[in-house]
Amino acid sequence: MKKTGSYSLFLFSVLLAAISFTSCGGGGEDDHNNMSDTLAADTGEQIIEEYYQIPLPGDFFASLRALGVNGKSDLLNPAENISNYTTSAEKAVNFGVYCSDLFYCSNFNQKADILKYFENLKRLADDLGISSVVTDQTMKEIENNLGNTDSLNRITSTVFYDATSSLESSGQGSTLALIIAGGLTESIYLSTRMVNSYKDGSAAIQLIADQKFPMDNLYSYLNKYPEDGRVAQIADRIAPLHEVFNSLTETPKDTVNNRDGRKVIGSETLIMMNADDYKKLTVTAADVRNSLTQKTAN
Amino acid sequence: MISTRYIVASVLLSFMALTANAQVKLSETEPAPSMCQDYHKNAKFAKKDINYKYNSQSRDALFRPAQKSKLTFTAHKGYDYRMTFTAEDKILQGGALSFRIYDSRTKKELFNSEDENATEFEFICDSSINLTVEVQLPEASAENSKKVLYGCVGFLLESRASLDTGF
Repeated sequence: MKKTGSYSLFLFSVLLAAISFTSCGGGGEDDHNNMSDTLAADTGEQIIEEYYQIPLPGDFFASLRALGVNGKSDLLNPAENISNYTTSAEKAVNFGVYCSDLFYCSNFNQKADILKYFENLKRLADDLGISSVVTDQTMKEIENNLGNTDSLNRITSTVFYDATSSLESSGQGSTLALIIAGGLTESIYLSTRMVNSYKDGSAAIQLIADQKFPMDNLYSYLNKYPEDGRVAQIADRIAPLHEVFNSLTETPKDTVNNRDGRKVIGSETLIMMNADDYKKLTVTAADVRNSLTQKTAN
Repeated sequence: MISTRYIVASVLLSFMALTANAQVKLSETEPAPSMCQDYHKNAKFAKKDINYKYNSQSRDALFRPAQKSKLTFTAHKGYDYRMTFTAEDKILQGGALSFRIYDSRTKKELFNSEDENATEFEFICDSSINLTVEVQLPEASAENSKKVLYGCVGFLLESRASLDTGF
């Protein structure tokens, strides 16, 4: 009896092992064409995928720096604020905020506890299920490049691109939209703090006014996820900032078709921002940004 | 003696099976990177020029033959832009990718690659604008019409502060 019972248990284990090992699945092959089995069930109608690109905060800050704008200290979202972020919306948005802060540090050579900010990114990435974007290897690379702003800029870009790739490929575009919303809001806030006085005809002020265009793209992107309550919540919080941009005057401009043998392309109107508009934008950017980064009662 | 061996073997096998399954589940919770990640970095502009730098609005995506897709990006006043596409041969199959560019707001067409048989495009931006690039891949060849193919397409965008030339 005992022998039979043991033998049955052994057979059961072999069966269990066989089932488990075969269900580990394949993968690891370059399998573009195997997707056809699921996707070939598409209807005959062509689905046109639309992508909305928003420049990284690093690109915006590099442009401001090239225009002679200087960074200021004590503008960043404090690293300790991470303890405020408990919902997945708060974590995603502030992943974007902290990315923007790191781009700011590397572009304007700001002294900050860079390692602490990357640790925050790592912690938030773990919580968002994308821990592979900030690994121990990444942290080691940061430690070895703390004084090298170009390397820090590159590493932050890589973290952002890896997060984008992971989230898009796993169908978490709404989480990515929240990250981008946080990054763009923070970069607009920081820019209005760096350029703290209005000057008529200033190229830096014009560049800030023209953030209307990435903001429009952001809203188009957010609108792709109407079923996600988190996206609706954050879109509502950022709405006052979007409204300020939408209220800016647009004046028609002359059209030039070619210059230096190359085509000239541009909007038919120019966004105009006066001193009152800029003051309103500065105040609203601060209010919206603080609503995302500080703990608020829901 | 024999029964003890069976029990030990059973326990070991069960443990191995359970941990293998757990490892699969752990790896299944972490999303894999896109299979086309960084594909656009294979693209290169035919014409050499100075000061252009990689623009973060570049991207890549998986496509099927004959697929159409749109991408909207921001071009800023005072900057020059150039764009090019790269695509895997298995979805081009000797055909050519075409693209057209239009103002996202007014929908006015600003460039059509088919008009000039172009594979890349550059322009000066004199006032900031959101541009939509509509990409069209060629149809699959007759011999591949019974097979569903996928391949990567990369969109490389570069930019620089506009140069002042001349006196």
